[in-house]
Amino acid sequence: MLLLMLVSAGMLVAGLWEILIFREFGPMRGVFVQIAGAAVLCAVGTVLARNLIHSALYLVAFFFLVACLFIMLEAEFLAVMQVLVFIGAVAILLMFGIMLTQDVQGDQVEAHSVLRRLPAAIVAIGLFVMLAVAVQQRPDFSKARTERAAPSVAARERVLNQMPQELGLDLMQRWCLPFELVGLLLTASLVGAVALAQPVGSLSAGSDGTPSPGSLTETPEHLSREVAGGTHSSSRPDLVSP
Amino acid sequence: MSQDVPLNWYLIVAACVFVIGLFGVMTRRNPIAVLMSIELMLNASNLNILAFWRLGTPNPGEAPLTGVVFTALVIAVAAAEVAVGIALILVCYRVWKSADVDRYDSMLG
Amino acid sequence: MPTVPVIPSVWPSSSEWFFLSPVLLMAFWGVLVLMLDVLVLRNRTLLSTRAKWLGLTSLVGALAALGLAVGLLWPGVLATDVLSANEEFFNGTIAFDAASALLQVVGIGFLVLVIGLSMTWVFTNEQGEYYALLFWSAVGMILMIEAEEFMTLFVALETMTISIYILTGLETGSKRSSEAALKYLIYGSAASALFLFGLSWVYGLTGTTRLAAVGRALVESRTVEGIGGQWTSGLALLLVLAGFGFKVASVPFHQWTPDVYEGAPAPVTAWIASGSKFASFIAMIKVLMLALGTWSVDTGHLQSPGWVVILSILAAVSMTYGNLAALGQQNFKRMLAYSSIAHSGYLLVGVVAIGVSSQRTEATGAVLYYLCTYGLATLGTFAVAAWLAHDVGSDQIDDLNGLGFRRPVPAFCLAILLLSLIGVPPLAGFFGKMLMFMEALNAGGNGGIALTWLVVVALLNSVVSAFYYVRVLKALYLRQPGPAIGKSFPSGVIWTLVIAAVATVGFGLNPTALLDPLGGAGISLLTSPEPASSGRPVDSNGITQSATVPENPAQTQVPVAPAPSASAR
Repeated sequence: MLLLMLVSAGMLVAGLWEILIFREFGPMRGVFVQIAGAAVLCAVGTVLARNLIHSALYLVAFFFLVACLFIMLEAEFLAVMQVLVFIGAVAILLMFGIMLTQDVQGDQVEAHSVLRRLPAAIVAIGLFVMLAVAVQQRPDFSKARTERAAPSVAARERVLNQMPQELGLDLMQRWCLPFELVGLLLTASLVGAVALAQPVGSLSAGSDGTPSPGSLTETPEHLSREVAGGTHSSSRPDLVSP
Repeated sequence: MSQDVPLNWYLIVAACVFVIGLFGVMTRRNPIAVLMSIELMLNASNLNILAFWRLGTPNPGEAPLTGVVFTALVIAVAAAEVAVGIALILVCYRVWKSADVDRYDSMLG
Repeated sequence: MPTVPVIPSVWPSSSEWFFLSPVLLMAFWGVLVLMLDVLVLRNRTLLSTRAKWLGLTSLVGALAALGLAVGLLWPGVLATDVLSANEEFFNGTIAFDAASALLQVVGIGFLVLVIGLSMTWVFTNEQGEYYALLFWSAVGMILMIEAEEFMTLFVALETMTISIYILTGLETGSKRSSEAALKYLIYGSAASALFLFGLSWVYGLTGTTRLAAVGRALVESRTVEGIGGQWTSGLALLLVLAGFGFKVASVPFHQWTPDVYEGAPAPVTAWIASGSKFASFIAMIKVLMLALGTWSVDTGHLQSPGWVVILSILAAVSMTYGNLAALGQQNFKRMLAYSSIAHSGYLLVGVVAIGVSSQRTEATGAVLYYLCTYGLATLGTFAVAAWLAHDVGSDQIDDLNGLGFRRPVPAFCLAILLLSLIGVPPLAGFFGKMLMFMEALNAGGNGGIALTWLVVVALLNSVVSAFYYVRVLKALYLRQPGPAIGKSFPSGVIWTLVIAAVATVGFGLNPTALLDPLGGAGISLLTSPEPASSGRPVDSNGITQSATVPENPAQTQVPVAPAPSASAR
C-alpha cells in the first residue's frame, strides 16, 4: 500500500512538474510525463509488492497505462488490443494462477533477501545507465536518407486514420506468413496447456483400458474448467504424481 | 499531435520498464511473479517498437505498418507464453504443493 | 536524391505456397493426428494400441513431408521459379533457396528419427497432443531456418520453443519432467524477452525488419550516413546474442541445459539437442551475417568489440565449462547435456570463423556439416539414454557396464558415435571439427584477427572431452555386465543407432558427399535476397544472376543431397 501512495504522489509530482517546466512545450509532454511516470511506478510496484495479488493489480494498471501510451502514439487499435489481451486475458490468467496456487487469498508473503537483491539491483541499474547513454547517443538519420524514405513516411501518415482496415489487409497479404504462424502458435499453446493441465493419474491407470473421464473435448472453456477443478481435487492422492 | 513528445522520452521509459522487469526476473522466486516480470519486459519492447514506428524514420521503401504488425504479433506471443506458463506452474504446484522455484529440486541443479 | 516507393503488398501466389508444401503438410498433419486421437481412438482403445496407431500415422506424415522436401530438391524445381530468390517471395518474409531446400530436408530427417524414437515407449497419456506438438515445433523450426525477416524469425522461434516447453513437460507422472519444463519456460521466456528488446533496437536503428535491408542500412550508415551509434549498437547486439546464446546453450545462458536434458523425456531431449540446436545455429548465422555483418568487428565507429570477439570468448568459456563439468557426471543424460554445451562452444568457433574467414562459404559449409553430423550423433546417444531410462530404469553411466558383451551391435554403434563426438580421425565428427578450426585459422582475409588462441583452446578441450567419453567406452567394454543389462533393445532405438552410426562412418570416410551440397547451401545462406526493385512481375534473369552468387541455382542443384535421404532411411 505504501507503493500505491507512492504512485499517487508520483502523479502529483509529475503534475506539478508539468505546470512548472513543460508549460511552454505544449500540453502533450506533461500528459506523457504523468502517464509514463505512473507506468514506471506501477512496474516498480509489480516487481516489489510482497503480496502477489497486489503485484497483479499493479500489473493491470501498468498494462492500462501502456495502452494510454499507445494512444498517444496514435495506435488506437493496438491500445484496444492491449487492453483486451493483456488485461482481459493475461492478467486474468495470472490472477487464476495466483488464486489456485496461493490458498485463494494469495497473501503468501515472499521472503526477500538483500543478498539476492543487491547484485540484481546493480545489474539492472548498470543496464539502465547503459541504455540511457545508448538512447542519448542514438544518432539521427541523415537528410538524404530521410528524403528517400519520404513515400514510406507518407504512407504511414495515410494509414493512421484507417488503422483497423489497413492492418487487416496487411496481415492478410504482406504479413500473411507470420500471421498464420502466430495462429499455429496459439493453437499449439492452447492444446499444450490443456494437455498439461489435465489431471490424469498415472500411465498404468490409462493403459488398463479404463478411459479417463472428461478428456474428449479440446475447447478453451475446457481448459479453464480443468484449471478450476484443479484446486478442489488437488488433495486426491491420484493427482499427486509420485 | 504525437510529434510533441520526443522519441527519446519513449525510449527512456521503455528502457526503465525493461530493467525493472529484468530486476524482477532476477529476484522473484514465485514463478507467477517471474512471469509478470517477463510481461513487463515484453511490454517495454512493444513500447520501443511502437515508438520507433511512429516517430522514427522508416527504411526507404518500408511498409507503412511494420511496427504495428510487430507489436500485434508480440502481444499474441506473450499471451501464448503466459497460457503455457500458468499451466506448467499449476502442474508443478500439484506435485510440490508450493509455488517457489527454489523448492523444485528433483534434480541436482 | 530519388525517393524509394513503398513495396506493394500482395497475397502470395499459389506457386509460392507450393514451395511451402512440406511445412503446410506438417502443420496439417499435426491437426490430423490430434483429431485422430481425440475423436477416434481415445476412450475406445488401450493406451498402447492408441500410441502405436498415432505413432505410425505420424511417421507416415513425417515421411511424406520428407518426400515432398526431397522432391523440392529435384533439379529444376527451384530453378524454374525465380520467385524464390528475391525479396518478393512471401513479401520478403521467408526465402526459399538452395539453402532452405536442403536444410529443411535435414530438419525433417531429424523429425522422422525422433518420431521413430518416440514410438518405442509410451511415456505420456497425451499421445495425440505429443505428436501434434512435435509436428508444430518442426514447422516453427523450418520456418525459422527460412526466415528472412525479424518478425517471422521471432514468431517461428517462439512456435518452436513454446511447443518444446510443452513437450518437455508432457511425461505423465514424472516430477522431473514438470520441473524441467517450468525451468525451461522461465529461462526461455526471459531470454526471448531480452532477444525481443534487442530486435526492437535493431528495428529502431534501421527502420526495417528485413535481414537484408537491415544489413544494407547498417553498411550504408557506417560508410556514409553515420547512424551506427556506439553504445546503441553494442547493446542491441548483446541483447540479440543473449537470445541466441540461450537457444544454443552457450555459457552465460546455459543454466537450463542440464536440468532440461535430464528431466525431459529422452526423445524430446534428442529433439532439443538436434533439431532445436540445428535451427537456432542456422538462424544465428543468418542474422549475424546478413543483418548484423557490419557489427562483426570493431570498425572504429563502434566502441563495442563486435560479435566476433564476444562470440570467441563465449565459445572458449562454453567449451571449457562444458567439458570440465561433464568430467564429474555420473548420470549419462547429464553428461551428454554438459557435452552439448561444449559442442555449442565448438560450433561457436565455426560461427566466428564464418565472420572472419576469407572463405565464408566454405566456413559455412563446415558449420553446417558439423551441425548435421553432431545432430545425428546426439540422436543416437540419446536413443541409448532413452533405453537406459526406460528399460533399465536409471540413467547412470554404470548401468551401461558390459553392454559390449551382451548386446554387441548397439554397443558398437554407440562406441562409434562417442568416438565421433571426441573427434577421432576417420569419423564425421573429426572432419567437422577439423574443417571449422581450419577456417578459424584462415582469418587473414578480414583484418588479420588472430584466432589461433581460440583454436588452441578448442583442441585442448577436445582432449579433455576424450576423458569422459572414454569412461563410457570403458563401461561398455571393460566392465563386467550388470544384472539389468540383458534386456532387449527395442527396434526404434536400434534403428536410430544404426542409422546414426552408418551416417557417421559414411560421412567420415567420404565427407565430400555431405560437404558439397552443404557448401552450396552455404552460398545461398549467406546471400541476401535481391532488393525488390520493380514490383511484380519479376524479370526472370536479372534477379537471380547477381554478381555475388554467380552460379546459385545451377550449381547447388546438382548434388541432390544423398546425405539427408540416407540419414532418414
